[in-house]
Amino acid sequence: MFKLRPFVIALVAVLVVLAVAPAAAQETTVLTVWDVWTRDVEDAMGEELAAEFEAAHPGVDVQRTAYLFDDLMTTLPLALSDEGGPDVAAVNQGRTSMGALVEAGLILPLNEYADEYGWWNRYAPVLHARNSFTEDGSVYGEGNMYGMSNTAEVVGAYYWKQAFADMGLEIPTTFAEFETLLQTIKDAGHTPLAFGSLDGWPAIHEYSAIQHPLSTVQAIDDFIFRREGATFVDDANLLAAQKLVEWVDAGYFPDGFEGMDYDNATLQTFLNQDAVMWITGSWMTSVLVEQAGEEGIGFFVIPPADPEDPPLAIGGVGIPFGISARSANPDLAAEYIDFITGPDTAARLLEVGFLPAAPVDPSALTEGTLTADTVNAWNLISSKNAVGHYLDWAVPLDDLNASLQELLAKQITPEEFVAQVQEAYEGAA
Amino acid sequence: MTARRQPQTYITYFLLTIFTLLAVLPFVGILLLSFKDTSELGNGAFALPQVWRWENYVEAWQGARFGDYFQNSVIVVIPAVLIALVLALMSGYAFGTMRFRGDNVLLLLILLGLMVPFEAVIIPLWQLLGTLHLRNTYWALILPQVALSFAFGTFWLRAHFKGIPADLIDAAVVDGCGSWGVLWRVLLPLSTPALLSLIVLLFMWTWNEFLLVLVMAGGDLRTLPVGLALLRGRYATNITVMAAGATMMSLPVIIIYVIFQRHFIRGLVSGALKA
Amino acid sequence: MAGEIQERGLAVRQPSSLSTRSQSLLARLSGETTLGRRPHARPYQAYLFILPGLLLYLVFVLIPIVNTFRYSFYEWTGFSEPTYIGLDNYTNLFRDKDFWTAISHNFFFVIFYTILPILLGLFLTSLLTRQRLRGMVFFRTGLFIPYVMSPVVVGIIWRWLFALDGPINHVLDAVGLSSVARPWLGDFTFAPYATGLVGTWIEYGLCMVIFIAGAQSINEELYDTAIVFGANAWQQFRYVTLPGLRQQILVAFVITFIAAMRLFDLIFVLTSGGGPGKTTLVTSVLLYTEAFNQNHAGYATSMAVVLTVIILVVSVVVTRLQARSEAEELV
Repeated sequence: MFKLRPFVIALVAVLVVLAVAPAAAQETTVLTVWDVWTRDVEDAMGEELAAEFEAAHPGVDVQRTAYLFDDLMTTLPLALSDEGGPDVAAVNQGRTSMGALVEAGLILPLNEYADEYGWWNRYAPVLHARNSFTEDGSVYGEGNMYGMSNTAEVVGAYYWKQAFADMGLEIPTTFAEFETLLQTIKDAGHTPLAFGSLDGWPAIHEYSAIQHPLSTVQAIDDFIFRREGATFVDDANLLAAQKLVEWVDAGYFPDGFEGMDYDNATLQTFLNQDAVMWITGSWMTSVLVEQAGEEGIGFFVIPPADPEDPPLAIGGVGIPFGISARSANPDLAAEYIDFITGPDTAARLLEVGFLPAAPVDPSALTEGTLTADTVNAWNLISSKNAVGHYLDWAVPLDDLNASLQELLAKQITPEEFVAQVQEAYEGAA
Repeated sequence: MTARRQPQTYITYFLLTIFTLLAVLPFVGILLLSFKDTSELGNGAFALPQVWRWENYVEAWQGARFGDYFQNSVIVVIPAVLIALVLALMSGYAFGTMRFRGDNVLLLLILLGLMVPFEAVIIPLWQLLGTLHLRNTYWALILPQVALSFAFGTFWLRAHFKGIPADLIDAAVVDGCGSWGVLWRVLLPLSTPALLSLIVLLFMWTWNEFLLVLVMAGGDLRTLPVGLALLRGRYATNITVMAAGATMMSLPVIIIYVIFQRHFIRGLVSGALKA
Repeated sequence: MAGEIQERGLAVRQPSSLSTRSQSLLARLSGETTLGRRPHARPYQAYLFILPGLLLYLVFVLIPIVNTFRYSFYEWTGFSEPTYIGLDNYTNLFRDKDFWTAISHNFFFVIFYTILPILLGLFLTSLLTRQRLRGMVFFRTGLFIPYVMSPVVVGIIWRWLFALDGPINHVLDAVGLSSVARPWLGDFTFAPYATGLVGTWIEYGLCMVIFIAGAQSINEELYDTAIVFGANAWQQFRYVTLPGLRQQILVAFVITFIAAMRLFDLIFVLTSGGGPGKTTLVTSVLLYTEAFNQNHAGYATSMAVVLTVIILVVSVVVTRLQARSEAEELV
C-alpha cells in the first residue's frame, strides 16, 4: 500500500530544514566599532559608513558607538582587557595611550594588513612613526605599526577675511610679520586672538603656535619620541613661554580669557567677530563652515621665524584606528579599517569638513574656500616634512594644562614653566 | 509656654526666608534657563522666558540621549534600592533584636565599609567585576551600590529596631510568631518612618552616583549624572539644553524628597544620631 | 532614659544619655539604647538573616578594600601584571607635591563644607530659642534641596552662575560693582573661594535643619532654670542650647567632613577637575587622574589608603572627644 503520509512528513521536514538552515548558516557576525565622531555631521557620516560596510558584507552587523575623546581614553584600556570590548577602536597616539596598550598586549600590530592593503602609501610614510611602537611598547616611533589614521590635523590661524581687508592686512610670511600683525589689530581697537584657557588644553595650541616656529623639527621630534638627549629646557621653548606672557600683557587675548571655555565662549567670541583670529586646529573647519559658510573665514599656517625654513606647525595624522587583540574577527576588522581609511572615505571626510590624511585631489577643491585653505595648509606642512606634535603626547595632560594656566596667570615665570614641564616629562617616562 | 511675638521672631523668620531662598533660587534659575532660547542668555537669570521652549527638553531627551540615560538610571536605581532594602531589613533586624556570637565583630566590619571612601575601592572593584565577567552590564552598577546601601541600611535599621521595646517582640513570640513572622508582621508596620527615610536616602545616593558609573559604564549604560557631566562637544555649546537635562535629572529626587520629606528629615536627624 | 518627646513639628528620639560605661567604641558609635535583650531567636537564625547581604557586601566592598590595600604595594597599570615594589608608592606619595597640594585643598574645603555651615546653623538656631515656628515645613523643604541634588547638577548650575557673562557678574554690574566682576572659576585667587562657597551652599541647609530640630527637643525646664539664675539670651544659648546640641553638631561635623574629604563630582564638573592650574585640585580627583589617565593604578591605591586613614582617624578622634566631654558633663 502506498502510504502518502511519510512522504508528506519528509517533504515538510526538508522544507523546514531548508528554511531554517540558511538563516542558521547566515549567523550574523558582529563587528563592534568605537570612534570619537560625536559631532552631528561626523556621527551621521559614521553611520553611513557602517551601513555601507554592512551592505557590502551580508551577515555582518556593525555596531558603532561614538565616545567623547577624554572618555574613550579612560574607558578603552579597561574595555580592551575584557571580553565584550570593541573590535575596532580609535586609539589615542602617544605613550600613555597607545604605548600602554601595546605594552599590555591589548592591540594587534598591523604590519601584515598594511602590506596586504597597501596602507604604507596612504599618507606620507614618515607619518606612520606616530602610530608605531616597538613590540614591548618601550620605544615610540619605531617598530610595528599599531594604528591607521584617516584624518589629519594642522593647527593654524583662522581669520575673518573681511576684517583683514578692512585693516589692509595680508597673510604674514615670517613670524615677526605675524607679531606685527597682532599689534596692528590691537592698535586698531580689536582683539587679535580668540582664546580661552578655562579648559586647559587650548593653551597647548596657543603655546605651541609660538614654540614651533621658533624651534626645529628635530628638537620636537626628539622630545616627543623620547630620544637620547631630548629635553624641554632649551632656548626656543623658553622664548616661546616669554612671548606667550608678552601676548597676555599686550592684550592680544580677550578680557577674562582665563574664564572662557573652548566649546562655548571661545567659539562664540570668534563667530561674533569679537576677535579677528583664532589659533586652533583644523577640526573646527566643519563647525565654522556650518556656522559661517565657506567664504568668510580663511586659514593659514603660522609662518616660521626664517622664511627659508619649513613652516613647522602642530599637526599630524588624526586619531588612528586599531584592532583589539581579543577580537574574534581581526581580518574583518582590518577590512573595516581599510574601508574607512581608504580613498572613497577620504572624499566623504572632506565633505563633512574633515581633513583627510590622504592627499586630496586638487580638482575636488574650490580655491578660496575655508576647506581649501585647510587642505592646502596640511599639504604644505606634510610635503615639507614640517609636521609638529602635540606636547601632551610626551607630557601628562593634567600637568601640562596646569602649568600653562599658571604661566598665563603669571603665577610662575617662564623659566619655572619650562622647568615644570621638564619635570613632568621626566616623571612620566 | 506661649510664644510671644518678639521682634526676634520676625528677624528669625526673615533670616530663615533669606537662607531658604538662597538655597532654592539657583535651581529656579536653571529651571527657567531650561525653557529659554540661547539668545536670551543676556537677559538676566530670573527673567521669564519669552517663549516656553519645550523643544529644549525634547532635544535633551533625544538628541542628547537623556532619554536613554534616564532609562538607565531607572534600571539601576529601582533594583538597587529594593534589593538593598530587603537585605538591610533582614540584617538590621538580626543585629537589632538578636544576640549571637560575633555580632560586634560583624558590625565593625560593616562599619568599615561605610567609612572607607568609595574612591579608594574603585580600582580593585573594577578588576573584580572584570573577573566576574560583569563589566559593562547593569549589574556592575547595581551590585556595588547594593552592597554599600546594605551596609548603611543595616546600621540604620539596627538602631531603629533597638529602640523597639523587647516586650513587643516577646509578645509576638509568645503568640507563636517565628522570627521571620516577627519581622514582617510585627516590626515592619511599626517602622514606616525609618523605612521611608532610608528609602529616600538610598534612592538619592544611588540616583546621584557618579564615580562608579563614570568608571564602569560604557556609553550605552550611562546614567544621568555621567551623561550630564560628559555632555561636552556637541551640546556643550547649548547651555539651555544642558539646563533641561539637569532639571530632568533633579526632578525625580526632588519630588521623592518633597513627598517624603517629613519622614525623611525626622528619620535622618534621629537615625543619624543613633548611627 | 529613652525620651520620646512630643512632636513639635519635628520629633527627635534622644538616644539614651545613660548608656552605661561606653568604653567600647562600637557601643558609642551605635548608640546602644537597651541592654540585655532576651534572645528570642536561636543564634543560627541571626546568621541566616545576615548572610545574603553580608555575602554581597563581602564580595563587592570588603574584598576590594583588602585589594586596595594590597595593590598599594605594587606598581600596576590597572590592566597588566602588577609588580611588587614594597613601600615605594608611599615614599613617592609623601614626596609628591601634587598630593600635598590636594590634601591641603581638602582641608581648605573643610572650612567651607563643615565649619561655615555649622556656624551658620548655630547662628540661626540661637535666634530660635524656645520659639515655636510656623511654616517650618516650607523652610525645611527648601533648605535641604542643595543637599539632595547631585553634585553634578550643582556644578553645572554654579558654573553657569559664575560664568564671565553669567548672572553673578550681571548683578555686580547692575549694582555698580563691575570692577569686582571677573571670571571667577578661571581666576587663580578666587576660584578656590568660589568653589568653597558652593560647598557652603550645599551643606548649610543640612546643618540648620539638624540643629533646629535638635534645639526644639531640648528640655524646657533647663531654660526655665537658667532664667531663674538670671541668664540672658546669649547665656541661655551658650549654656543650655549649645550643650544640648552636642550630638547634632557631632553628626553634622562627621557628615560634612567626610564630604569635604571625598570631594570629587563637584570638582570634576565645576572646575574641570582642579580649577585653574591646580588651585582646586583635591585628592579624589588626583587619585582618579593618576589611575585612569596616567595608568598609575598602584600609586593611586596608595593615595586611596592614605585618604581613608585620614578620614577614619579624624572621625574616630572627634567622636571620642565628644563622648568624653559628654560623659564628663554627666558627672
